[in-house]
Amino acid sequence: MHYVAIAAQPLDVQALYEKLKAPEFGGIVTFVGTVRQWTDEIETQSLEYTAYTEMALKEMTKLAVAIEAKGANVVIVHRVGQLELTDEAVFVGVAAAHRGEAFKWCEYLIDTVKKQVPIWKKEFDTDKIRWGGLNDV
Amino acid sequence: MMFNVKLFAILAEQIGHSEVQLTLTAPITAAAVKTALRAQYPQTASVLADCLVAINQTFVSEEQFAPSEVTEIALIPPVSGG
Repeated sequence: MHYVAIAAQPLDVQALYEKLKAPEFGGIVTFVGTVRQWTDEIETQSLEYTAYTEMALKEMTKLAVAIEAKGANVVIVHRVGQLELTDEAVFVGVAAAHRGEAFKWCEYLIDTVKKQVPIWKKEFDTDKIRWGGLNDV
Repeated sequence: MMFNVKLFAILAEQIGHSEVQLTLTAPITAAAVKTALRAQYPQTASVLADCLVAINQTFVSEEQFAPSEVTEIALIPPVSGG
């Protein structure tokens, strides 16, 4: 059974991992995105995530349900609010019968979350503030 | 007819509000929403070019809606989760 959420509080990675476990699934792959300090020459100090929460949950649910229909457990949780370096921003986990599917579906899910779920990142960098997803202006 | 349109991220910042009222005539389309916002807030033009439109919390492109079918409109700047 899938679990999706937009979280205002720090992610409890261990608790989210536990939700994936089930006797029929022998491979669990998790991806955790964390706040990175350097992007080439740009130094990030902190990030602020905002979301169109209701729609983001719908989009995440659609993604999770589609993968679970193939035979898997899926967890997708994204943070909102102010995050500091190394804080967890997103957790995507897939439990499947075997590792091949678990790796493949986990990568597909995080790639798709980044492309189509209405969540935005505002970067507080040492030189200026940048909005993720836009060309630097 | 007047519709409330939700704004997010850079678009909300450029206008200074997270929701605006726009006048739209039937049929309601993504293009019509963007055109109406651009007319009222020309400073959004460059960001708006890259925005998507969600009607009733679903991304739309060419679809046409009667006003009675529309419960929620949102402009979605390029997303950057993850």
